[in-house]
Amino acid sequence: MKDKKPIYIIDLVLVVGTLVSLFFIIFSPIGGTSSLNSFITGRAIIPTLESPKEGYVSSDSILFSFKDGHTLLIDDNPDFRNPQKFTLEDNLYLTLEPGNYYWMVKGIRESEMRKFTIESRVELKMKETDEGYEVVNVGNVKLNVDVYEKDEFLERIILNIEEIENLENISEIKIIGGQSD
Amino acid sequence: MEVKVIKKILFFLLILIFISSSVSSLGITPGRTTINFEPGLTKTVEFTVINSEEKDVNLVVLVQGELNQSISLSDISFSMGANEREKKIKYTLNLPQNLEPGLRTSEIVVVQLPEKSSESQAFIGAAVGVATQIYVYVPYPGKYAEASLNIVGPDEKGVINFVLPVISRGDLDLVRVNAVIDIYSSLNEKIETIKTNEIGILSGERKELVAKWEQNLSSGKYKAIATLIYDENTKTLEKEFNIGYQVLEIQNIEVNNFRLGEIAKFEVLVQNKWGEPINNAFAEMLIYNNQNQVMAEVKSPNYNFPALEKALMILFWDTGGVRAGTYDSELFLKFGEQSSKHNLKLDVSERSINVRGVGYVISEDSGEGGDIVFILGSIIVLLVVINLFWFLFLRRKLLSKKKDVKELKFRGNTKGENLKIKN
Repeated sequence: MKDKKPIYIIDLVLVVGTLVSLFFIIFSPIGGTSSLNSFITGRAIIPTLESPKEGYVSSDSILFSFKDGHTLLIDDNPDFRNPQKFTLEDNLYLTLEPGNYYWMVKGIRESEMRKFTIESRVELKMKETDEGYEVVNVGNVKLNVDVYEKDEFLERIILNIEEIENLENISEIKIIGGQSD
Repeated sequence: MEVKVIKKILFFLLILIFISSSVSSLGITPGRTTINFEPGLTKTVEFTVINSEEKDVNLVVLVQGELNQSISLSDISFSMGANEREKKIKYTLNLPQNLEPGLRTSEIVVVQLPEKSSESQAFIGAAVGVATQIYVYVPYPGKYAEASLNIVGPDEKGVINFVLPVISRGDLDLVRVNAVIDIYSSLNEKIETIKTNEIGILSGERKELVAKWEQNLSSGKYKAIATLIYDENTKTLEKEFNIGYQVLEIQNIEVNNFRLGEIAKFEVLVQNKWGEPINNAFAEMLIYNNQNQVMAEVKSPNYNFPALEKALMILFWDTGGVRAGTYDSELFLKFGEQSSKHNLKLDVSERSINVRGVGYVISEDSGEGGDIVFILGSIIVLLVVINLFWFLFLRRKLLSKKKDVKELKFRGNTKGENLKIKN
């Protein structure tokens, strides 16, 4: 027993040393990165997608949130040949053009792929001014705006998003906005 | 004194009523519904009318365009109350057995009726209308491709992506689709020819052709002419693009050592992405309250950015009287006649302001996380190796050595010999 004492001491040093090191690596602020935790504990290695849900449809900005990943990929094609890449530490609000999109997240591994749709929103605001009317495109697409006076067609104006147009000297005005090509 | 206050309040209320009544606003979503033609197809489509001003409104619904005989509406007129922001309406599309090939369109127009005069019952003022379009694509006989050319980049490595979304609009599938892109200088000299990948596209399907080009051109205007080749047919697409233009890009926004009620110092890290200096650039920030009114407007001094270099732009915001909460904000980077807008959300708390970006990357990719994982992962692997080496090899060897020594001792004693054992 006495002869084996040095061996047992080395055993003890190694086991305790290893456990202490692992505890430090997993729970310390440096080692406690989600990626490393995932790597060591073997859980949630695949990034978890939270928002937007599969098939989500909106005409506004979209909040992207996920766990255990660092790079957000968005593409209008499911093969992700030419994706937009965003390296993130936090959630991200994005305003995208109308269309169908696919998104996924890269971490240690790649997440599942989800689809979402940004619908076009045609929205017009008309305000009476001293000189006439101020028309604003408050939607999310470029608009063709047809202007009528007393139900007679006057002109077609094209308004980019948030663009303002002043219409003067028109009585009984009617404007109709539709998505431009 | 009280009467004066009441008069003031009434005056402001009257102004408010006047302002709100002189604004008309109406929205509709989706702005367009696209359908691939099928003979005799019946489809019910829902759309949403948005009462943006949240006022009591009367609306009428009209159908226009070449498919108007094929569309029936769920409502032809309706009202929305001030508390009703959205209303869903449906229409049913009954397509005939035959339609001419190509794009066939119609639109459903929702018009907000002007208010009626209290004396004559006649409509007065202005009318606002919005339309949701119906696009029906009728396949062309044979093979037909519709395509556009998008040029993305160059990125920081100088790579330009040429993306050609292609839609097969014929009634036959496209078997082999690819494109050849020729790049020309402003003097019309051909500089390079790039080829895309090759794909097959089923009838009615949309796919993309992509070509990446790692270029090293000087700043200026260039032209790309793409020849789309689909089976035996070709189509030419043309687009101009710039290399190296004036862009200031936000890299990061930080507010350090902040206390609510004091002056917040916004440090906006900005990079000049252009190959030339940009002078007299400044940042301007608008901060909105919960009623969407501008509660603060702050501006930085002017800065000069050497080519491709970064600099900190500083803005100060006096948060006296500001409550903790989330505020919408717009940050403008302005120089010359150019202005770029960045939507932000400011999470203001007692000791910090967290700036969230809308539509741009919040943080730079430092790659730090990956390094830490690699280093700590290596430590774990090293620990495992040491343990295995000790327990499976070294420890056993030492134990067997000791055992041999004991056996030698034991044998020596039984033979009555005096053995000297060297360790």
